[in-house]
Amino acid sequence: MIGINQFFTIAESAALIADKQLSPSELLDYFLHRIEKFESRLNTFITVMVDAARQHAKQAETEIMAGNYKGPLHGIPISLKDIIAYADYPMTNGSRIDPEFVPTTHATVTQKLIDAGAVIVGKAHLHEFAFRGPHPYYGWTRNPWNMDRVPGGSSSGSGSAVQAAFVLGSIGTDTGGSIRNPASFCGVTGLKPTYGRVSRNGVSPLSWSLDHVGPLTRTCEDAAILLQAIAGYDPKDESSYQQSQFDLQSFNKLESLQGKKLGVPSNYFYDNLAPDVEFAVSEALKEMERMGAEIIPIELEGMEELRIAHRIILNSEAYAFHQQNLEEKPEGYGPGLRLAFEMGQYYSAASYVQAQRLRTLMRDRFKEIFAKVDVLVTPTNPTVAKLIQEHENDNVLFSTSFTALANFLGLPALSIPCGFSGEGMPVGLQIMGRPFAEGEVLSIGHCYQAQSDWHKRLPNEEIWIA
Amino acid sequence: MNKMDAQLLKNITVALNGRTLYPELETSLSLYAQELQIVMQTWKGISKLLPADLEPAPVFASEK
Amino acid sequence: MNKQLADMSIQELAPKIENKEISPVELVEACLQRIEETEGDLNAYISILGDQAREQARQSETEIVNGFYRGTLHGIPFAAKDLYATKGIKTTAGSKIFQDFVPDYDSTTVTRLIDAGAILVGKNNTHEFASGGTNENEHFGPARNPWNPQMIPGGSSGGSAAAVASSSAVFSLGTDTGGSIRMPAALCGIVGIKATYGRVSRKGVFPLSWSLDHAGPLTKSVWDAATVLSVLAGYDPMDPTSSDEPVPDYASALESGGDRPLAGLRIGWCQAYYFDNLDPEVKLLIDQAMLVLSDLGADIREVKIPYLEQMVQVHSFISAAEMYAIHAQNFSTRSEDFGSNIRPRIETGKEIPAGAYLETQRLRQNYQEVWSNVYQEIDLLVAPTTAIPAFQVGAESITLNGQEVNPRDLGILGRTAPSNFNGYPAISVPCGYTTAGLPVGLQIQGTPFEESLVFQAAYAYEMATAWLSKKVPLVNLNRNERIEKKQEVIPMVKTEKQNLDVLLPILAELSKSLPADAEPAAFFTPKKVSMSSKLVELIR
Repeated sequence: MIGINQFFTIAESAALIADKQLSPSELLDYFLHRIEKFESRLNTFITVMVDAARQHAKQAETEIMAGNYKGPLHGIPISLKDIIAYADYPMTNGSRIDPEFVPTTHATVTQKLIDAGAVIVGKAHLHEFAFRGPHPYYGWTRNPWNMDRVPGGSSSGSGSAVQAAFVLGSIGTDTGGSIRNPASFCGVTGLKPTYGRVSRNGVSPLSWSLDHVGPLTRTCEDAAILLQAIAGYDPKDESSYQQSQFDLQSFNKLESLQGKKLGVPSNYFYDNLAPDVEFAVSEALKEMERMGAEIIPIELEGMEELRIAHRIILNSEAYAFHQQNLEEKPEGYGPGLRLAFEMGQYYSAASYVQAQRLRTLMRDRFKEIFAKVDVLVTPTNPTVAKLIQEHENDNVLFSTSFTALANFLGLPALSIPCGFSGEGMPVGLQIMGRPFAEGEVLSIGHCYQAQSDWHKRLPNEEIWIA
Repeated sequence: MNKMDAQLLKNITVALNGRTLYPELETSLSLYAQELQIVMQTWKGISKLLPADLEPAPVFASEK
Repeated sequence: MNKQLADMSIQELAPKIENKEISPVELVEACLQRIEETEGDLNAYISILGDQAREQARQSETEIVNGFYRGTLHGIPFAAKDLYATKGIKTTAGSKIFQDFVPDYDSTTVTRLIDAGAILVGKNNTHEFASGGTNENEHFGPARNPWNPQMIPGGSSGGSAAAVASSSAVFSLGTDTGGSIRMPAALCGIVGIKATYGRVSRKGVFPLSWSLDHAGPLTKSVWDAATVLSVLAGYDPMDPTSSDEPVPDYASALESGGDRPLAGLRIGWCQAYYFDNLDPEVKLLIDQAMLVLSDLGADIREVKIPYLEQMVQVHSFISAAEMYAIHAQNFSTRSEDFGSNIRPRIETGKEIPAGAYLETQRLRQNYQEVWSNVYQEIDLLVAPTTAIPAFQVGAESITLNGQEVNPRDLGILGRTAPSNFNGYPAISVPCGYTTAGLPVGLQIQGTPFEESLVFQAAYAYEMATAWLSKKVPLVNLNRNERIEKKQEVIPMVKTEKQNLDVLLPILAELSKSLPADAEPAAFFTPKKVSMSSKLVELIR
């Protein structure tokens, strides 16, 4: 028997499964065992679908034994953020607004994963409606590196579960950084694809024009494998792009960064960084330079306006969607979310339109920037994960964001681990690329991961047991 | 521009939505007002940036 | 001689120009003369481009004489609403704010026409910033109706319509955000078409409301409209909403097709909204037009379209909000430079909450479904273009069905806004005259990107009725001398600010029908409606 361990990746597992050296049921049992042992403290799931998962693993096993191997996700256990529909299982959105809601059809991403043979283990915990923080009813998901710290959100259960090795990957959503933040805080890899790449059909909206669906995994290679399965045109999503298939060939596992032009903003993204973050990121940049990359300083204009415009759009769209519930049954929302959502009623339509116009303007500006550089490299967050207590006392509705830019412009953006703070918390490095250049972004990330072991470091499991 | 204050926001909620904010949120109105003041100021700045023929982003058509 | 020349349509002129029977030079001269004769009464132009037009006419003549005939529009004089950017030529948008604005580029549509050989003779008067249905312009004076200069020409493309109706240009360009091409076309007795959203580029056309704005032609006949639209339409990478649907040659497909050219065509009409509160004379003329369509073989049937009136009311959440976004900067610093009848509209836009705007865009997207269902039962929809004929410039009120109303209030004049909300193509063709001698328009709405069928029906109707050849606007008669443009001060009637207290509950009610997965229509392409194969045959 193969010694399964927490370091396992989708790519490694898939190779063994394809070779029939590892059975999907065995693999699932390993993860279910870990979930049973640690979940009660880490709180990464809202629903664990033990029976369905077992059945799917069994089915995968039968198919593979019969010679019908479907590809690298066949028999791979993953979780879905509980804002993504899985038919016949409750979808809570992490809220008490309609917690008994049971969708009758799968979201398009869910269906694609099932078609690829993935074994869906459960519905991951999240910040309520993918914003602000968790509903008190469900409590905090814990950061596997430190139980007193936030896991990052809103795809909190996804980031934490991947780091804790409860699943090999998870599908999250990202409207202002909700895949990349937990990836960064939990020390895993998270990819927000290009707007239009992955269907949003069957995913509860937070903000239609900013929402993205994407993977959280251990490695860039695993993210590429998941992206290939979930990408593609979907007529049920108005924003879906016709040529949105992701060609795994475009992820070419670079061995050097020779000739790559990395744009490094000389302002905004490097202002007021926590010293540990600044150190880790600058070390990472040096490492990438050693690997052949050319660092090109970039001056960015209008970032503060962009942040405000992002906020206006997000809050206005969220308010339009939630207005009726805010009026009729507000008690279903957690107090923090309600506070944030109610703000949306005060923005004017003209400010919303203006914000959408700013998108056009910035899109043109960034076209010019991407004529000079291949990717932009920044820290994912200005700090490492904060204490939960500190987060709860924080009364600011919106804080500085390094991640909103990619949502505002629809650019693909990756977060990978690039070091640790003095307190032992992971630091994330963000790599943003041109529209539909996920292959290039992931290749650069892969090259860095081939030369570093930050993503392979594991937290101490003992702290997960009370 | 009128300075945003809690009372003004309270009035807006009544005028636009025909309701009041729930009591537990009323204490947050001054926080909203502060936030909104920043947003509105920035928004005026944004307005100045935009040339007349600039259209809103084609949000539901992905960039080609 | 010159008069007859100017009065001709493109269809009549083009073969004569191609055969060198008529020179573009004499044609342009005829139009310029007509401008001199009529401008004092009509005030249809903000800029007249005599020298430039003469120069272009000479070039065209040389080209044609040397055998370089570019096609049907070569040598044809046209005018453009002063919202269309013209390189090196003042483009005011009918406003004081931009009274001295000289763009250094042409709008895509103007470029296309000039490339096709058409000759720009002037820039038309318009309702300020295209925001109103009367062309009562406070900065440049009102444009007036060629059928009776006491009357409005309709708007906002009022100058464009008056110019074509009085034959000072053979065709013109207008814009349509709530009916601004079709309404003046109807009130001035000419043809105007607003094609499918995305069909004609809006690049370089001053925006009123991006998500509702359409550009298009006003012409003397359906054939002319089909010809000009074939040149205007088509993909433009500079307009983010532009569609890459192929453009057929609309005019060549037009056939009179025997006695019953519309046999097999299902034409619907809807009482609610479209036929509510019509002027009795308008009602009578539209009823007669429907009988003609029926005689031509069409199967006329009544359809029910839910929520039409409410949709038209909430329409303003989009147009007013976007309008405010466009003007916010100037409005905050120099609001006194905006005309008194558009100021209230902009004020309305200032107060609309983002939630209401987005909710309306969601409704709009969702409402496509309703239209698509309606068109399962019909192929075309007919309606009056306007509910009333032209009224007096500056009139405080009119009497409509026994009630005193301000004719500028929402829902009184136009029956056009639904086609902006759904993005479907719609044409207005003349369908007769009131006893006071004022024209009335018949509106025909088709399905997205099926302008061909709209033209087909309008053409058959026009052939059967020939309203156009029957009458000529009075202003054209007995004039041979230049009329001085009067500098007049006209009483301006204030428009009311839209009342959000009324509109918001309507929106709330409508929103209840929205499914949770409904998304807003920020920049939408209208959904094509599937057609029966029989119908496809009929069009081809």
